[in-house]
Amino acid sequence: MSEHIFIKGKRNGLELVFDQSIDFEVIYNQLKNKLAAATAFFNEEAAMHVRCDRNLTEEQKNKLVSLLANYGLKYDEQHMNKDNNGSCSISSAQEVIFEIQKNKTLILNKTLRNGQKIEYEGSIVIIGDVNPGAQVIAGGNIHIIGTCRGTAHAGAQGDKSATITATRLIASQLRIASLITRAPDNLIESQTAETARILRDTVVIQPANC
Amino acid sequence: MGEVIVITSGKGGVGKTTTTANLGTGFALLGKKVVLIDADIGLRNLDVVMGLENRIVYDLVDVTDGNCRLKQALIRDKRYDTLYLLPAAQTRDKTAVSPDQMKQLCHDLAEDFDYVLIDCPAGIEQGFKNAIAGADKAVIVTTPEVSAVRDADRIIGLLESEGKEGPKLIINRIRPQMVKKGDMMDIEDIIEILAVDLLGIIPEDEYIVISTNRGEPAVANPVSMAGAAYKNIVRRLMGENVPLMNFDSQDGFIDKVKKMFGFGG
Repeated sequence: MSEHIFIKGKRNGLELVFDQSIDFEVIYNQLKNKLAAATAFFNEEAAMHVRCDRNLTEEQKNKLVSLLANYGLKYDEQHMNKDNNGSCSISSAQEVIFEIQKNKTLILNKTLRNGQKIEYEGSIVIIGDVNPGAQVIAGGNIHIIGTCRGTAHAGAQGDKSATITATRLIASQLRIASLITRAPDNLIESQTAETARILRDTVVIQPANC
Repeated sequence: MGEVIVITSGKGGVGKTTTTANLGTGFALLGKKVVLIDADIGLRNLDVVMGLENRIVYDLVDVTDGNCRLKQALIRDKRYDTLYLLPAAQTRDKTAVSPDQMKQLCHDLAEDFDYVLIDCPAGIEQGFKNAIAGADKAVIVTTPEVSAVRDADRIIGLLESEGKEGPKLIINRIRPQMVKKGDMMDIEDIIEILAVDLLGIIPEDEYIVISTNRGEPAVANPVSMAGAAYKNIVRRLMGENVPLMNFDSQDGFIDKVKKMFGFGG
């Protein structure tokens, strides 16, 4: 059975994103299994922000609230307004889910520190930061749900369509296929998630999925 | 069984030895039985900082080589009865001991002492591996400089890969005025990158230079700001909940004194 839900660590707690097109019962059961498998991982009293742009019924909502309460998590609903910035982040989260289903993907739930290196032939999803001096090398795409300050190399086997996405993309160096680009000497930090990809033979950084 | 804590940093010159001497003395001030191990074989300093250099007869390598019994190599501090030092050998190098020997040594010492503090050498090679081998806990010392923070990050990664999780951080030599002006990395920036628990902040203090030269740790001095900060860290290591010092008010006080004497401000 493929995964339709995804839990992200956020500064203000956890965020639950799920594929909006899937039946509620399927989502509910997958969440239940995931929570059961990862009890030690969750902090008591953490807020679980549930992102949904379809409305859940009262009954469905109550089921979620009581399930989360079993693990000491607080339910907090977040509606995504299509025309505000948030829609950007939800589509990006859906893309992550899609990515995991489609390709060989390595999911890493830790911060990569100075001197640490991760190499994988498929795509890499990192839930954590990539610190200066750390290296991420993927044959496919790289998604960093956190801050990227180190070096990231997507499409390492020559795939020019590969992308690098991070919640905070302030990498010291980005490489896609055989192209190398470094951070400008006075970087202006963006407030949104960003994606780096190749456009007309240069690496271009744009807001993620906008 | 006592607790074995390694004091490490990666980068040299950030204050590992000063921190080890002060924390050790701080524990002794509170009546705990402490032993300090200088793991910096070939470049020993801790004995000098403690003012115990002239009492060394046997050293760490003599113990691991079996030239003497462990008790013979321990030097009792001249001021505090419950504080001991196991000095490093000066005529050998880091390869003179193995991580397994260090593990055994730490284990033996932890049976007799409440706290075993290990002063780790700079770098990530054999000396580092020896120093962390027997430790239950790690304390990382850094200064508010990018280079020191990079090295601290590397060290935290290496500790994790050795299965030593949850290191605690000491940020040394903070100058509150410079942080305020934006000329120095602030504490939040450092914590954000390193993502570890903060154990304490030590302000820049001229008295550290004086105390190092005299061989009297600053923690025993009632007017030293750095000494007071070390005292707080000792209490936190013992499980007490001590709030961080507020340096702003201290600056205000110094400014007031300056004004009183007509130095402007």
